[in-house]
Amino acid sequence: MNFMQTVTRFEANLLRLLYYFLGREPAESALALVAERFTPPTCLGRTALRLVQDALAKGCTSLLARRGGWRVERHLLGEHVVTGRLWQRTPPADLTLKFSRHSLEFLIWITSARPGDKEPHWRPAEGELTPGDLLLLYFAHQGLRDSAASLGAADLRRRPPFVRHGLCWLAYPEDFTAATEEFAPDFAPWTNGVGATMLEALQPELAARWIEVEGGKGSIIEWQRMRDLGRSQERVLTAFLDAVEKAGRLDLARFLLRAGHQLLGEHASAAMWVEGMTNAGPRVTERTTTYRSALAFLHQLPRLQSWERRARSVGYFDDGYQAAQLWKADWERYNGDALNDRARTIIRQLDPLSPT
Amino acid sequence: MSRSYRICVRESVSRVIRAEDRVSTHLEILEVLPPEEMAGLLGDELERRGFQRQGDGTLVRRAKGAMVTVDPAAGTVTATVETAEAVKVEAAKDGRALDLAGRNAERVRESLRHELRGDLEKKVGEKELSLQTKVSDELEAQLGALREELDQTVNRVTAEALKRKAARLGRIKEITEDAQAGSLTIVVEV
Repeated sequence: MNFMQTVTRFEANLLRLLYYFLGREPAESALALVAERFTPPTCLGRTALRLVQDALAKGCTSLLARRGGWRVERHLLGEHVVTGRLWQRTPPADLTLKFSRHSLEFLIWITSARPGDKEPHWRPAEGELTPGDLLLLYFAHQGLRDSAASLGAADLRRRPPFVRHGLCWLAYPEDFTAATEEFAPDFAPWTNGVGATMLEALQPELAARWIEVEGGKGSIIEWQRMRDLGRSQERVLTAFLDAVEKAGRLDLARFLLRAGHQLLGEHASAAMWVEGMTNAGPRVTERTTTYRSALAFLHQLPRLQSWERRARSVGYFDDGYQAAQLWKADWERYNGDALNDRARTIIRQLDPLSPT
Repeated sequence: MSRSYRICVRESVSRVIRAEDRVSTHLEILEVLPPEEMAGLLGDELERRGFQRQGDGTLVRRAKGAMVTVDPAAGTVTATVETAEAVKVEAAKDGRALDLAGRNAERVRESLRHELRGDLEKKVGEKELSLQTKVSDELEAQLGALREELDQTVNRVTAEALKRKAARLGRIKEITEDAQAGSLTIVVEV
């Protein structure tokens, strides 16, 4: 019996790119394909389609499991708090990832064009992307970040659907500094249903990313760059916190407490954020804006504290009691009050007139 | 055989350059008493701290090169530092002309003067930038102390307002104030 599966050259390249996005193919060989423009066939063969389906089904779930889904955590399921690994907390039916034709169209497009190419056109209709499609785009975003700047991944990030991709913004705020005000990150898909379970799984990854971005601020030299980064962080955090608050899923913001716990140790000082800058701006108003940008993450902690204060007043028979208790427990676990005090001290050091 | 002449042009600019920087903030005062009364208390406390009342109702204090203006009714605080400095910048440039006092020499001189004016403007611009940075540094250095003073002022005003409010509720039997902890306990007999 012959187990050899035959695909065309184009299909093979498409599959290699997909495997790369899913962490199964080394960057060296896959990124060379990103630079190429292969002529797409009129349709893909049955074998290639089966392989794409298989890779998406197994690869995405495997990545989610490895990146944090395996951890025993406490999250909300409806009104209740459940403990366990991702697949223990959530019924299997609620974890189903669906991929639409847009996933396949994206893969065909990225194989036949460079990320910065505007032609051939790839712009799926907003609202048609499923959570599965969005997850694939997130992994693709991660993969394309490492491609050469000349290939135009930055241009791709300035266009929908990436420019409105909430999870990409949240994990990589530094990639969206050039996003115009016209496009705001959309968190509706990530705070409900299967999107929220993905966000649960990616909590450790998000915490690590915020630690990395905040830790890197100390080496930023140009104040304009700091302001761009801070503005992007402020935009994404405001949109994200608004969305989790609206959805009643404060537990999805736990990664911010984790990151804060790492960053705001006893010896945390303002220098950790701004020591690389020789100049924060010509005038005090500009310097203040720069410092606020540098401390964009710290400025969000009072909002998290206000959730805890509100949670204290939720009674046993009130709606949202379990959710309130979960946030209180998270706040205490990561020593939220101490983090907030340290954040306030640092803000006061750099920006004495800030209304903290 | 032709020879060229060295033409030297010297220019200087004297100017008064000015730099100014300001920053504003808003005082967060609890409305223990009606706004007019709170504004009055704030004004009194600021006067005690060396501020002078102006015709428009604001209070101003000039110290260490900075001017702090407080509008007690709106609760806004503006700190301003401004300075002026007389600067004189000089520069010289050399060129070559085919004659010493003729048309060619005049053309070269004019061209050198034109270049020099550009250089001098650039130098004045650098001095302005440097003065601006100095002024902003001065203002920034004073913000920490200003914040501390504003906090103390707001605390004093709030404490005074609480005492007045308590006196209106009944007879004050005891007042315990712990400035260190920032606490105030008033026992009122109603």
